[in-house]
Amino acid sequence: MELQLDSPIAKPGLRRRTRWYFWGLLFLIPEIVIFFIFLWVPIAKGVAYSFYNVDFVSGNSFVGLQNYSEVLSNPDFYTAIKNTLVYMGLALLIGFWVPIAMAIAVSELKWFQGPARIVGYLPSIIPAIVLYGMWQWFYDPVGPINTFLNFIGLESFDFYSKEHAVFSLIILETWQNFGSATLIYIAGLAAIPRDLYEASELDGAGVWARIRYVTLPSLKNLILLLLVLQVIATSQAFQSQLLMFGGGPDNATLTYLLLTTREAFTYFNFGKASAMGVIMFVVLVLFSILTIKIRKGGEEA
Amino acid sequence: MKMKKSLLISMLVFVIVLAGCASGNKNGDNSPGSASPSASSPVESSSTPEATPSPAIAEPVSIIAYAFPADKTEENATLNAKIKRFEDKNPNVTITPKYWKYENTEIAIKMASNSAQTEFTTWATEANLLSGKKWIIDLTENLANWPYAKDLNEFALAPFVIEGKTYGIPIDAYGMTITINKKLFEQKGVPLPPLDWTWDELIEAAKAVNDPAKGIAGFIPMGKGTEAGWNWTNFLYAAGGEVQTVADGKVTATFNSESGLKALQFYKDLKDANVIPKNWALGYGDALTLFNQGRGAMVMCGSGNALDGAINQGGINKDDVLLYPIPSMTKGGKHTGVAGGNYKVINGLATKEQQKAAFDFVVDEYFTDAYLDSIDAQITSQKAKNQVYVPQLINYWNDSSDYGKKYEEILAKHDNVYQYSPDLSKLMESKPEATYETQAYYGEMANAIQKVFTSKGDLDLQKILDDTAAKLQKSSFDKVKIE
Repeated sequence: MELQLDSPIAKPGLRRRTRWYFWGLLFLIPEIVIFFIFLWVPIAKGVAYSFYNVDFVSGNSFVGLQNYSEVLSNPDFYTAIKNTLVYMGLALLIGFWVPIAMAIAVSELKWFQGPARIVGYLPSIIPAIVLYGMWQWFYDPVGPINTFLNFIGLESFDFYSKEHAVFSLIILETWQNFGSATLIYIAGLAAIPRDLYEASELDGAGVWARIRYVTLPSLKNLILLLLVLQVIATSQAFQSQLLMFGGGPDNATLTYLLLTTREAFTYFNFGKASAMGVIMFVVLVLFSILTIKIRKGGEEA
Repeated sequence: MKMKKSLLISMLVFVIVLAGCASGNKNGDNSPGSASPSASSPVESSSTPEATPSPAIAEPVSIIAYAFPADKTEENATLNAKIKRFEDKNPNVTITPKYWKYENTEIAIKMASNSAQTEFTTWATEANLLSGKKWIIDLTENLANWPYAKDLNEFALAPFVIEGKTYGIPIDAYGMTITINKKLFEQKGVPLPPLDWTWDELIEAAKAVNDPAKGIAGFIPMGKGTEAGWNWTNFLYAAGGEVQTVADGKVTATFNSESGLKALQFYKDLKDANVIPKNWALGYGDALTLFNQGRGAMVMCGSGNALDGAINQGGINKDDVLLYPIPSMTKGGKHTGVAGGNYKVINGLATKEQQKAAFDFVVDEYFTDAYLDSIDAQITSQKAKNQVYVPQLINYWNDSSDYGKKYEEILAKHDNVYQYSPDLSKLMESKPEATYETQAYYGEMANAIQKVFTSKGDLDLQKILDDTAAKLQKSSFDKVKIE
């Protein structure tokens, strides 16, 4: 890249390069301004507010680490962390492989590949408010799922019980989100050279062997990337928890971000909510660094 | 080279962020005031004498009034007419109507961005919270100079009188009631319970009308969000209990008393009798929707609110819904429920001049014929839409006053006005909500209620209540500073 920048026109290199970067920076300014206003300032303010008792009228007062100590002494904080981890884990276990399987299945289809992709993606375009209304009906004791279970002679399933609430949410979330991940995997699959498959077929590999030795290794990086994205997304989950169960029953679906939202918008403790945000931010940054390290390590190996 | 440059850019960005952060903090304190060009924060204006203009000169003042959603054309037209009348009388005041409906989950954002109206409507539940945060102003002085202040209904006013100061002007008030879908009772051939019913009679009625196979619940208590605690408090009150006591500047949780235990046992009995929806996760809207769909025979709500929704939105015939008081624990006992209502409050972030103008605007037509005419017009317009006007049980005036009688005359003129049973008002007793950290209490109680609604087998209800009380005491009540 550097070579291309230094064009053969005879001009003092430093001046030219400075001017080049000046224009580059100029084009970056709108981006910097937008990021500054809508991302960096809120982040910086969030960090600052975590040390304040936020009061719009009388002015903020500095409280040092009080918000942090109150957050850490709240038993719900640990419940929320546990619930979030359980949710993340179950979402990986139940939901993560679905788009991979779906993408492979779709790409193995001889006919109707296009319609299959559309059908898979449809749930992602349903507006949230319709989605939750729909699932409330699906999970209803007299809703379609339980009616079907009763029809085939099984007992009704209580989707709202303390034991099943998280599971119910994961089914809902997987159904809602697997479409977009499937599309990404399908794109990844399309990029795998066909000759690899042809070669493996010549070697006598069946469908399973092709998936095992060609498809999955080729998708490795993509899988890892989507894994990181899913972990980050599920660690910040709160929408379905809030709308379906309000964090209940008895805090069974109280996630970290839901507790943060509750602190901010139910109890109006913005300082405490900011402190929780900062803790989350630090953990996610550490996690990202760790993943980058692991990935780099993997590539070097 | 690349490294160096990116390092340089990163440092530049870092410096910008730091600079923004520093100025942001400074602005952070003042931003609400500086957001509107004419406003400086009230704290500043009171501390700098030159900022306060002489009252003799009528400086131009702009305020924002609490408007209705765009589809409520009748209400908005009434408001616009009221604005015009006020502006004609007060040429220095400019009023812009703006729609934002009060929501307890949105008010913080509205205050942070200083974008709430100068005067807005809120609920009785919000009095302590809003006044505690200084998001609304103390109106005691304004009321002292207003000739009609003494005519306000004291019961309606009560929730907004805090430590001797008045923070809101009532529009209407209510006590909690139970709305019954009479049709479901008739379909099952179940006789209606007596109006002076008890907890046991409620459970019996719920059992009789209950039909889980069809997804019909006998009784729909709210179980999700703070409204779960709000619903349960009715039974705590009916059992004679209190949420908290205040003594020597200290707030102590008392809802884990014997009355609390009885109220929670009642919820357990409802669960054991299988008369509540399996889907316990019902917020205010969810519970009312279920009722409107005919999937529950009884729901608990502020006097006519569930009834209004059932008739005017749910399409249930007005003769098919009935209002009952909160049942008494034992026969002949008190039918005490939580009191609530709608109130006008003045934005604490506005300037003193704006606040004064907003107060004058709010009370401008209180106790005038113009106000009654607007109700008359509303009833007429609802009739045209085939809707029923559901009056509030308690208004800002006293029913026995001349003004109250005039109001009754207007209601009597129309045939699309819901008629409450006269016995209902006699039985109902309404008690204001807890004073301190009410939302935190409701939120914690919601967990306890969910525990009861979703656990199988025996539960140590006293322990659940004690644990909830202890947690709330430590995290909220102990931190209350009473001035």
